[in-house]
Amino acid sequence: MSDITGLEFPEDLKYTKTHEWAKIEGDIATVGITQYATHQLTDIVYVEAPVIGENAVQSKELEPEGAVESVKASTPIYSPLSGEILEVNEEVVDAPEMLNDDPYANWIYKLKIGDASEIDNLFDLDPYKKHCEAEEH
Amino acid sequence: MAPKRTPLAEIHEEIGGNMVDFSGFYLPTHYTSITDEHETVRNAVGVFDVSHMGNFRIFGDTALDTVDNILTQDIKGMRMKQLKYTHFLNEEGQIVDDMIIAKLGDDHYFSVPNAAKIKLDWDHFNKYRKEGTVMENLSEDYAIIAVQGPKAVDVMRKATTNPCEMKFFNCDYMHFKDLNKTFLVWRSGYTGEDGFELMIPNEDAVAVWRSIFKHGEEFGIKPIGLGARDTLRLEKALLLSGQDFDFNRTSLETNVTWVVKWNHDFVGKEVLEKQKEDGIPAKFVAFKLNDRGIPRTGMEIFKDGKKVGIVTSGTMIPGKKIGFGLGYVDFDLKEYGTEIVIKIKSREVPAVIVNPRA
Repeated sequence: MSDITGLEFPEDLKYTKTHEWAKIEGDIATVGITQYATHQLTDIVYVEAPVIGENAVQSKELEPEGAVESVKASTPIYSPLSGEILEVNEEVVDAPEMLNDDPYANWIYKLKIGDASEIDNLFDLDPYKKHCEAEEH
Repeated sequence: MAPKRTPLAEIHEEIGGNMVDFSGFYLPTHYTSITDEHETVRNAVGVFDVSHMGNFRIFGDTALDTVDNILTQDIKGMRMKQLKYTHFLNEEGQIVDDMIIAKLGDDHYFSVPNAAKIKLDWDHFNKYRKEGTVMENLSEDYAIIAVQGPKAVDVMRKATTNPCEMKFFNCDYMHFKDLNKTFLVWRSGYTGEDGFELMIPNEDAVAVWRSIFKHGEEFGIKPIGLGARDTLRLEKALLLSGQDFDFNRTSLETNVTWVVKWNHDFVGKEVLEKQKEDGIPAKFVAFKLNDRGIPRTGMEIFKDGKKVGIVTSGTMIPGKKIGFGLGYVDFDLKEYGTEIVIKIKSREVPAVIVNPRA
């Protein structure tokens, strides 16, 4: 019941239908959540850190941990790509409100891309925008 | 089905409320942010549209007998214009709902049931209604505006001609200057703060809201959504009907056992008497986490590796970086300071039972 005007959608990212973004550099993907997601969640108060060394699976919730929580609810992070979790952004874990301020500068985790062909399953900017618009109606 | 619009829906849209369908009502989760709204009510004054809640008027020669038999509270002992928080039970002793009831006359009562349970409560009251009691379901006819926070009294003094000398949990008719009309006002709320709940006929709701904001401006008044309503009540361990009890608990298991008055007969009393004799199995407590995480409804509570309870409500209290929850634990673990463990996914997070009023 809000709309997507005024939200930021960077060009150089890939997107999921569950509102994660991935920045792909070589065989490393940096992952965060989109401004559409932070806007829906409002008041992000806690980031449950993903577990380094675990293997993420494309489109599946991170296991055993990995979620973004607002005052109201916990929302799982669905990994945009499969691969081993290499790094977690401790700054965001310590100060989750950074995700409200700038969800693109503040990534959540990095993974080593396990299967590059999975990148084709992700949205580019325009289809992702259309997907957000459709969710609004 | 489209959610019902309250008489204040046009205001929420005008001021940019984030509108959702909440138990069939079109209401705002927040206007600015839950954190900001939570702190506004704790420090200044905030205004809620709680028109989704019901309104029952109960009167007639036998009205007192009817309500005294349905409710766990001692209604016969009520003073004029007093309010009482009460439970009412089914014949198995389980809580059907909680509500506040006002005594407006010796044979005249007004009560506010929870939105999601209006129909259920109405049927329950009808089932036990005595001959000579008249009940009116006015839920569609009244808006309720809650003005809450330490500055609420200042706003009410400016908006009305009344000195506001009534004490908390009393009610009175107050004269609103801008409208030149008189409405029933309760000094009560669901935030743990001082506050007022205004019972306003639908057609006057928008004008009363605007008047309250005009007079409240100098006190930093803000509109408050459902999100902060939940965190405010949670922080003070006020029960949420349908979530902290849902036909699975008796009043003796809650943290408000004082709603049960043994000096009169009421529906479900025998079950409570037996439970008191046999031992109460569980107790409703508040706890805070001693490590990071947020407790959520349905998570399990452990002590020494054994499951001892369940979380019914949880959040991170806005402005404090502490996970906080409510739930039921084995009765002998209810004391403040008891250390427990909350299972949050794969983690076992240490927590401690606390006094939410401290």
